[in-house]
Amino acid sequence: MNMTPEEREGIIGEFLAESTEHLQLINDKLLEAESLVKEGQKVPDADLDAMFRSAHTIKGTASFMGLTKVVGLTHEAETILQRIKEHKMEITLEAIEILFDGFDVLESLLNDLKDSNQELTDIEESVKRIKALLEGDAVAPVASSETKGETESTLPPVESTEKQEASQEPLPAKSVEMPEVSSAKEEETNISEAEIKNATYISKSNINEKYLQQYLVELEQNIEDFNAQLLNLEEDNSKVDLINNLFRIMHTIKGSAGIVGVLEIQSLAHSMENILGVCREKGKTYENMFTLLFMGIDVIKELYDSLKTTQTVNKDVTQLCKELEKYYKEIINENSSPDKQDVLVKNEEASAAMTEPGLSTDQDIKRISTTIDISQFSKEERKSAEDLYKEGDQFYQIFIQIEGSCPTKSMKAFLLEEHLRKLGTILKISPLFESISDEMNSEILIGIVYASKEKDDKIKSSLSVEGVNLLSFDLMADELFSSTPEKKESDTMIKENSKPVEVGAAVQQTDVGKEVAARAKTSSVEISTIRIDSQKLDKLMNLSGELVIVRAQYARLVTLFNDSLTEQKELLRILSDIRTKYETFTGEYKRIASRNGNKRKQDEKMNELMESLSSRLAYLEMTTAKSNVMGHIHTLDETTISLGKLSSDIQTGVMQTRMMPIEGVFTRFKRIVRDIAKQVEKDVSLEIEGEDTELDKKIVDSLGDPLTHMIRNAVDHGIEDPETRVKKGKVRNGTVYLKASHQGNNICIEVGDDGKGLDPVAIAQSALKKGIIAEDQIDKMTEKEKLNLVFMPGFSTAAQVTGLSGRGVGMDVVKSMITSVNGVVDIETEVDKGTRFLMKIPLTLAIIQALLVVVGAETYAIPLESVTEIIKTRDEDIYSIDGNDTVKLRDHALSLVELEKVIKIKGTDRSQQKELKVVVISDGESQIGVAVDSLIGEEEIVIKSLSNHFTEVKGVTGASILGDGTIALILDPVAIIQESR
Amino acid sequence: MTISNEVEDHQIGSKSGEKILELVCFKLAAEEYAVDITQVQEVIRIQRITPIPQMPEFTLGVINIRGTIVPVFDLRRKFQLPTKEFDGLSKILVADIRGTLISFIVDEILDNIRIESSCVDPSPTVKMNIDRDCIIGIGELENRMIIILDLDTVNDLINSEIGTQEPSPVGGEG
Repeated sequence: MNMTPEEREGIIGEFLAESTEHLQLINDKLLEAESLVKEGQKVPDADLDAMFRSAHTIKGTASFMGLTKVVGLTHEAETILQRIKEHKMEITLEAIEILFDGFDVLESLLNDLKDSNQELTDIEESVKRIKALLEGDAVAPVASSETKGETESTLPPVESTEKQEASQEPLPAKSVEMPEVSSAKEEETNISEAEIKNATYISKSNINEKYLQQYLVELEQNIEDFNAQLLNLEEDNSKVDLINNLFRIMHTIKGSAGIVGVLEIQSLAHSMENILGVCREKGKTYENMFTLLFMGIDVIKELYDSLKTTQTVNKDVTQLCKELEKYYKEIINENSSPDKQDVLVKNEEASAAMTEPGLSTDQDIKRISTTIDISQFSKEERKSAEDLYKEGDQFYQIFIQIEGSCPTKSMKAFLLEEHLRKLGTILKISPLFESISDEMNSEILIGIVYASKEKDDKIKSSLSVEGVNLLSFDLMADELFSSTPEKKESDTMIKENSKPVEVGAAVQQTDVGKEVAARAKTSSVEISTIRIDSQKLDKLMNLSGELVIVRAQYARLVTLFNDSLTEQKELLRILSDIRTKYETFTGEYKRIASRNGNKRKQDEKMNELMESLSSRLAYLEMTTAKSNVMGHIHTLDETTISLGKLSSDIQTGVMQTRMMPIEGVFTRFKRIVRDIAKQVEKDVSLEIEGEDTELDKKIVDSLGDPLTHMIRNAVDHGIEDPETRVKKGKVRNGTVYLKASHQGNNICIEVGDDGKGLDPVAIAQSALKKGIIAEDQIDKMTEKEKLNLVFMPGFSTAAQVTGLSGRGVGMDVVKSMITSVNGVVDIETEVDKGTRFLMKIPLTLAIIQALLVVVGAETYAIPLESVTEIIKTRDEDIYSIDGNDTVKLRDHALSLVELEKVIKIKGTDRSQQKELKVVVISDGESQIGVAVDSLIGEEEIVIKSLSNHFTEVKGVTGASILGDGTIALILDPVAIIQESR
Repeated sequence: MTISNEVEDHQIGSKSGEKILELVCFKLAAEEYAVDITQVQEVIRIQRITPIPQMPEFTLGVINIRGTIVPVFDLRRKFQLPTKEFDGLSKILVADIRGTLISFIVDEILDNIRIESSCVDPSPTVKMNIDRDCIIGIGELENRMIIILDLDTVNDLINSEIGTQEPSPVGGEG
């Protein structure tokens, strides 16, 4: 593969993600299978199929990427699955164990790839074990398959050539049963001869290695599909639509084989396609065809294997082809009706051409049909085709061949063109008639899309020119005008039986229409999820966070406007005051003026002034009253509210995209519990609840390890061994449970067991021994604090250290992981009843509810999650213990800290303060009181990371931008509690 | 590192075929300094700076530039120059260092200059307060002496001083 490293990396990433999912599925199904086998029940075929498919997909992709170890291992595992699926092998506990082992190795290979981009893990051991299992079983399969009836026995194992040949032996026997096959004996000898020839068979195929790898991947899929559908059809003969599928698959196999140049597969596929073609034509199946078709596909599989390992073909298929052809002729003759004859004849002709050595007509047909495909038509070509259709023309796809021996090729071409043009329109032709010259020595294949109103007989006779063979002459279905490129394969196969329909009409209810619709349906299901680079989502998340900030700024603007609105109201009040005073003034003035009525000149001037003043005042009143500031502010307020609604919707939406069910993490524990229980010889079952609870992908990813620790602990240490349990009067079988649920903005995850429980006294003693705590500390500790000692680094409760848990790491890892996603963890336990670990984790990491407080000149945000309460305390209630300020809070001593001392932020001098505001924060174990200057309130804040420069700052986890644009640092309660110790 | 990639990328040929550096000049204490124009994202007025605890003196804190939290450093303190109150001329110069935004307080923004690389002395003998690693050289332009800073090195130095690892090349913000 010529891939750039980046491309490869991208593809590997996809591959890993996909394969991990597949592995998960396989593990699940294996677990189910195991319990079914244990109970002596049958494992459903669907499950086996699912496992097989998953393994197969992994293999396919891996081989495309050249991951040899993954391919090697998956191939072996797949082989077992396939044999089990085909009932060639018993599904035993041993087999399941070996499969588990195989897929574990595969998982570590995937991890290798993830970490180092290399396949490091050794697969030898695992492959050997699988092989041993396969070989150990290889003796038995025939016997067991015979009892299971013909269906199974017609499916020979396809793993290795030896087995394949062995499986071919039943073939002659089956042939005897076919009434159509006249001389079974002869057949038998022929085949064994063919087998002998195989040893020295030299293929005529000229394999194009460039496409081989890709082809093999495709071929494998096709073989698998074909097998599955053929089985299905055999089970239920009425499913004639399956014939279409089978035909299509075989056609694809044939076509691609042509491109790559594997003649053997091409001719086999051709013969098989012919048989299926008859079935399709007749809309029925033939009882005996299944044996032959299964045989055919098995040989193709064999060829596939040989191509895969040696890039060559080591098998002669001529004999089988002959057999298939023979059968094909028999079924045509048996049922042929005159009107279908020419199609069949055409098929025969084509197949005759096929068997001629050195000819690759079908391959050429495929190539040419691509160039003349209607879906590839240019706009103009399409237009003229549509016009012709409207005029009532019929459309034909014609393939003709000018014989290689013909000396006057250009003349023949000219003649053909003349004839065709007389009767209709040549829409598309490849190659062009003009390009044909006499110098061309080989036969020339010409594909034509032709439109005509004439009867097809007439057209056909016009084509009968000496030295020219008519290979095929097909009426085209009109849906072609709206077809997609993929459709062409099936479309060219619709013969006379399809009726013309509206040009450009949507999918019609013809066979093809249904088929396409069905296909479209499946493909739409396939793409219902898409993988998105998580960085892109992070970016969106950030942007939606921005939106929240902008909204807050708008809200602030509204407040500001409202303030100025109050000012404006004041202005209006003053204005009306002025008006009143003015009225009084003018009234008074006029009265005085009329009293001493002689000063006219002055009067006039005063009147003028008063009028002007009055009109100005009126104008001012009018504009002020008219200005609808209040209304505008109201609108702004409303707009801000809807902006807020929108932004929070967007935020929720973006958050939703990051959400994934916790199932992925949970289900893997079924396997882990099973393995551990087996190892420590306990009976333990795992109960899972709420696995569809969704939470942020980042958190889901970080939950795997802590949960593994807890589950291990529960099984290994928590659950007693069966005897002890029985002695205690408990049920033999221990239960570990894993629950998830939503609680507001948090998700609660619970890991519990019904085991022996935790003993606080024992824990304290153990911690003392390990030097985690001092003796005098024990007395002061509450039961809860003692329990919480298990989270201390270096603590392990197990009296005996087993290989599983108790490695000194464990619960402290759990604690730090949970803390790193802003979560808290709590223990509840009762001796002999069980233990429960409760984890509370925020749904998302990007937005949190926080309490905004002021300390010194700055605003800080404290995650509300860690705030237990807010208290006011008076100076005289504070007393000092060991130099630490302490207050009494409901029978407990609560130490008070100043952030200035703990994390060195600039604070205020509080020595004169009579009353202190204290925020009580908790990290799940202990709590302390933090003195603050004032409280602003609760707010939803967007967490922004501080610059990389500040990763070492203690007590601060990030920053947030508040509504007014200022930055509030987000305090880290856990670190503050730690620092204050 | 003598010349940053960004500077090299931005060097354009003059008539004489010589490389030309395009720089933004600013004043700091008594000297004129300059940085590569392509590294300068913007120049903004002094705004409210939120202090970050536990940091050396030259780290003033963080500012909010359209939703991105950007650290602000005081070059006077960094280069042990005499400190000065901010005034109307003081500005914050925001630079983009390999995808991470950082900003510096400068006394005054002067002008943008183009200077031929032959006019830059990469290893000046003049006595200077600042760390020689931090400069690309001293440029001479019409009787002006301009200290050309290498912001990448300045940033590296700051980083090592406040005890963090090399920042990742993408995104220093959340």
